[in-house]
Amino acid sequence: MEFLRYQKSVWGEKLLIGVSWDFLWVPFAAAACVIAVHLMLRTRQRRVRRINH
Amino acid sequence: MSASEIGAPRHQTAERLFHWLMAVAILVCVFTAFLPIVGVDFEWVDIHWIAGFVLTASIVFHLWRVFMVLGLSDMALHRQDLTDLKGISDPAFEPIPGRKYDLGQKLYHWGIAVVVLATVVSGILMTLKLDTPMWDRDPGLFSGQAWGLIYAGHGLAALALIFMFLLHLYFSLLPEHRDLLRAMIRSKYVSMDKRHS
Repeated sequence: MEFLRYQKSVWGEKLLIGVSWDFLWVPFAAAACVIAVHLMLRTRQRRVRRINH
Repeated sequence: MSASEIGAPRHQTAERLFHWLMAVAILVCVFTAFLPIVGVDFEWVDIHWIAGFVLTASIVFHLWRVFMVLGLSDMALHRQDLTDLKGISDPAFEPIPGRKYDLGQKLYHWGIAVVVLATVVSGILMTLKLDTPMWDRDPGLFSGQAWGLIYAGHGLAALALIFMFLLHLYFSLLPEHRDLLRAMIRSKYVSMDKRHS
């Protein structure tokens, strides 16, 4: 699986034509990871505040 | 006095209009770009570049407001903002009061600014390959390799834009940020303390 897409030009050269859309899931997975970490920190913070108050 | 009338305005009307215009333009750009890729076939090119043009115009308007009216001070990063990092390791940490934006909001703003500007600049260059009412297409403007880099840059920035949009959606829908979301819809900012008093 390549990160970039290429095609052959009329002269047979390998030409870059853009990003591979096979990686369309990456921003969703990355966002899910950040959200999961934030939810864990937020839960811990709320628990400590509840105990302190 | 109703609860919505308590508190100082957080965003002026022009900034709220800019925010929502930019949001709609970005969503139209994202959907018209990615729906065809996942198999939803339609005539997307004209809708995409017109939404990109609206996005560009809204950014120009925002830059004019920032440099001519609002100033950069609210969004500038200061050394004291770094104390917010203590919140990661110290659950009892209380952020410094009196700031309009915290470290996370400032970092998000500058991050999305870079991503949107990369998308817009590469997108404008890509429209030079299209016939529009403003110009005729000129594919010979750059070499094939340069066009490839522009396309790859636009694609990378678009993927980053999806990531940033999802984070923005999550943070804006958190219950503790409800006041911030409300302040972006209406002109008043109501603090939690005032609402509960």
